[in-house]
Amino acid sequence: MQIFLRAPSGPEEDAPRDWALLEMQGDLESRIGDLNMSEKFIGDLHYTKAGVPVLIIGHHILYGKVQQLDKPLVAMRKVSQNDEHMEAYPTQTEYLVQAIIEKKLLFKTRPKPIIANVAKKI
Amino acid sequence: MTLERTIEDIDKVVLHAKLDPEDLMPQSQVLHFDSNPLDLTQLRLVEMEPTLAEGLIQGQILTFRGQDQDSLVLCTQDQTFDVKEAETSNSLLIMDRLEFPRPTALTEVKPRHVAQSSVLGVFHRYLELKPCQPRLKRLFDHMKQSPLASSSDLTSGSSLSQLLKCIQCSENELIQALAQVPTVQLEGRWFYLEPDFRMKLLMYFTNYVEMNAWDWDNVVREDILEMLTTFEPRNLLEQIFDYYFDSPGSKPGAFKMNRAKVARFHGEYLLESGSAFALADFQKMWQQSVPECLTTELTLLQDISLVDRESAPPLIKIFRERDLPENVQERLAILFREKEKWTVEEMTPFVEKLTSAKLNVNALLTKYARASKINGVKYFGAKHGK
Repeated sequence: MQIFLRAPSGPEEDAPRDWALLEMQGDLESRIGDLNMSEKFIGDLHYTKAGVPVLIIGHHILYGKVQQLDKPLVAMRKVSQNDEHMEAYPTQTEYLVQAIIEKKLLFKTRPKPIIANVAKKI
Repeated sequence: MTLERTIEDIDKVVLHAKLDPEDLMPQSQVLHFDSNPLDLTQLRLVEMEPTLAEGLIQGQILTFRGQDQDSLVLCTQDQTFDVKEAETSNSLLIMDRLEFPRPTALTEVKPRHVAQSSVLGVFHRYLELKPCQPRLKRLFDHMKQSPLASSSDLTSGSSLSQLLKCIQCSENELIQALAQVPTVQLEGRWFYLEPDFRMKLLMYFTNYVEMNAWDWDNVVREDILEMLTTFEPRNLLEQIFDYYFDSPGSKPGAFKMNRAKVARFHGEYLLESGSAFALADFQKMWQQSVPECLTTELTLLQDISLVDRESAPPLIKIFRERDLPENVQERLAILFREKEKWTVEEMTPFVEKLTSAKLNVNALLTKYARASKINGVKYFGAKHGK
């Protein structure tokens, strides 16, 4: 069996997108156990003037770095035969390149807690 | 999105975290899960060399190949890669509209402001590619099922596209492999030559040259093909000629016989006719079977034969590298079952194809076998053997 992987061709197919990768330790889970995460707020991302990414999620602060990927990650999407522009490739399914991710924000250290020792309402 | 976060909301948190907004770049990003997340069952991440990714953008097509039971490979036009799934305990968040810090942002004088970025999906797995040898074992098995025994029956055979569907290698590697084994291409299909038929075809050429006392290093292609077309189709003969007479001679249109190829085939043909031979007898028979100008040497048969010098008299039998499993452990298990201890030189022809740029024969044997020294000679044996 052969399955092709190719970049989208022609204007009717989605052009590759400009996606990026954010890598962090552990998982993101809802505190109230909500499984549907759609539209949920995660946190704020800042860059210091030195270019260090700082991510604040709830009571946690994470310091990371910007990293160029030695080997890019290619995101590919499975496309089934019913697609109209499939005639040139007589296989049942194929994969289309959705994005080529070349850079990531890496937060590899454990999050540090934010300790509010000053009583101040936010 | 419920309530839009303002820069004031954000900076409150910043101060709370004991950071100074003054030390931050003017733009901060608010991260959300996207309202339209990716369908993770349809999307996969593949880590690949920049050149491959670049090729994809340029319009190159990569091909996954394999049957149900195979481990998957991904092929370019001329290379094959092993596809392995890697798992990470880190979360890989695919981000839309994520801004990276730009050095120019420092010189821009802008008030603090907000941008939005969203998480499209979270991955813990991705696919890794590792260059590997083309998996050709099935090619020989497949082609041997329907060998060509005469030029009058062309019903068997496989087209290149048929072969690519079942063989796990790139197109160019397949074409190269087909050129190295006794195959011929007729009417767009590839055939494996049945050994008797192949010998008959080769003998047409060698007999003709001997009969006319021609110079083995200057056989004129046109002349000999013209003489022999009464026996077999010309395109078949051409391929046999080009295989065995593969370098130009000193006269125009003339070619030199590849003595090694011819001698090797005679040896292989002999070996195939029985289960094992006394080495001395075999060497005598072999030398007698080849044209006089040829010398026969056992090294020509090193990847298709096995010599047992321990027995009396020493024996030789057919033992093909290409019939061995492609998995290292399985292959070594078979080799050490055949013979307990091997020198590196003896073993090289049978394991060479499993090596890579990073793992040469010595390293491979050190990793998967056990070394021992007898009378100063290094041998390798099974790792958990006696």
